[in-house]
Amino acid sequence: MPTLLLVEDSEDDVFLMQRAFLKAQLNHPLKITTDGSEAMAILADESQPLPALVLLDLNLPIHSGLDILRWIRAQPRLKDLPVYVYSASIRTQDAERAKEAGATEYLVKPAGTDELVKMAARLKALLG
Amino acid sequence: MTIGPESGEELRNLYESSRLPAVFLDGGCRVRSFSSEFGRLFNLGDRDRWRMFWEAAPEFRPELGWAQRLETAMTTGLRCEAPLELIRTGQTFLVAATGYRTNAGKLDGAVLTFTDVTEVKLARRDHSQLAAIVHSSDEAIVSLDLEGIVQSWNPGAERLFGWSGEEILGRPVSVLVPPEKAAEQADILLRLRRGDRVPSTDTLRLRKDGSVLEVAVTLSPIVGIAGSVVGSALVARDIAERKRAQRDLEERVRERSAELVEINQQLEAFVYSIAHDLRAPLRTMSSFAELLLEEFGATLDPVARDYSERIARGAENMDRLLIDLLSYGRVARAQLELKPVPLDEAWQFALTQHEDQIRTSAARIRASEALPKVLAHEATLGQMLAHLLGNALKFTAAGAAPDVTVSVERRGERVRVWIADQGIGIPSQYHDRIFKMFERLRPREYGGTGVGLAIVQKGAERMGGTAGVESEEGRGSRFWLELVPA
Repeated sequence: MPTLLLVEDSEDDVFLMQRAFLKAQLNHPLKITTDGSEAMAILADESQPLPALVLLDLNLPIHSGLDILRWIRAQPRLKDLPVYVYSASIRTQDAERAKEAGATEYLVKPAGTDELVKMAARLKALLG
Repeated sequence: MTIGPESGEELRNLYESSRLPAVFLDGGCRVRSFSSEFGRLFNLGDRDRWRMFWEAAPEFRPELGWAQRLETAMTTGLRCEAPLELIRTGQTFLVAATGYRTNAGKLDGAVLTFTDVTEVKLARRDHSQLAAIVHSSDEAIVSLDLEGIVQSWNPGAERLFGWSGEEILGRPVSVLVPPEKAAEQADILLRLRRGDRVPSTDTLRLRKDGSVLEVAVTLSPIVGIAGSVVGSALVARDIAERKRAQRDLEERVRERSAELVEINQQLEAFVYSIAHDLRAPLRTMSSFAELLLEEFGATLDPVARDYSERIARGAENMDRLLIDLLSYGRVARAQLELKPVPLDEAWQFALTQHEDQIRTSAARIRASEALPKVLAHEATLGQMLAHLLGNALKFTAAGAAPDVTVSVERRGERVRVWIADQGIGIPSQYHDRIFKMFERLRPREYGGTGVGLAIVQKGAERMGGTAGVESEEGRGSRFWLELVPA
């Protein structure tokens, strides 16, 4: 089963996401990195299979989610990789910028745990 | 009249009728006779006849050397004149002395007549004061005849325009007018001929060397004694300095405004990012409070459960408030591109926003007729209707199912959209207040952030419309939006 790559620097969000995946029975192995450089290194490693999708937080230290997304889209091998940008921001321009930079979709981090489970279920449906 | 026995009646009458102060002196400067006017003026009576004139009329003190000239008049018959100021009455007289000739042609004494020239003197003083003002004025003061030919030219004009009086007198004032202002000047001359005053205008004029001046020019018609316009007076002032100061000021205002816009934008961005950054820890709070309830709810004692619920609720409320504030900020500040928006689509959006609530409350919702298109920002209008629908669903009496009707009404150039409910209503004294930020009438029972109606009003305003409400307590509310039809 292909992995999912979660790029998220908030421990709380990682915990909540893992739990939501579990509840939604999204059983793909989850690779987690809190750091943009590490994420890029993982994706650049051609000896490893590509993840099924990337969940990318916008608000990351040093390299922002948008920087990483632009880098991904600039790599020929990664240009079709599904990248879901997700953020607490409901600012329309954040969504627009993410779309412009090549996000597959922009997801607003839901406020409730149930909503997060629903989001995980949606991702599971997408992965088939 | 006090007059000697040798004078005839007719002569006396002539003397008196002239009302001229006059005194007749003999060769030794004694008072022989005088007119009543003279007597009144110098307080002379009958007793003063034959007194020495200087003693009888001590107030008679003309300029030095007068006695000598009076003597000459007596001996040669020549007329001499001198001004006399009578301090007591404030009058000025021109005193004329002429030698008196007898029938035999012999000189015998003198006649002094007094002409009141007070008015003339004052007029002359006024005139010379005015002339001094014109002469020393910094402003150019010029008089023109009806054809616009320069008739007088003060030193101020010389300094301003560079032409000396000699050079320009008799030339048309149009030599000062730049070609592009010729039509304006012709019009001005026409108006002056009609007797209109031409109010001060900022314009351009030429100096003798061809350089262009920024001046304020006022022209007034000069009306002659006969009452007709005989020419015009032109007053011109150099306003280069004032214009420069004005331009500097405008520039400073522009700079300052730009700074303020910049600061305002920074501040908004700052508030915006704070509101967003606040959402992240808030989500953590609400999520973990929920987890606590979800995973340990069964084992928590009721007080601990209550506390966890309060934490979750508080976090949720704050999140809603942040979202509403951000949304208000967007409606108030963002560039809203207005285009024709079908009202029913915006209404559908509002319905989708509240579908859960509509289902669970068994609400009855009707749109009474086909809804037209309005000039609006689609997303904002959807949001506004969602707030109004949300209120209509929320503010119902306990246990009652919401009943909401949407209708439209053409009002002149506008379309009014009504969202009416059968809910608890609003006392009329609060009708204005509820549209203000953070205003809530019954927060304990109905919650809410107090931002929704502020968004509605601001949104309507940004679309060139208005919003309002008709309501009575206990009898439902009819909120309305008035928008521009598309």
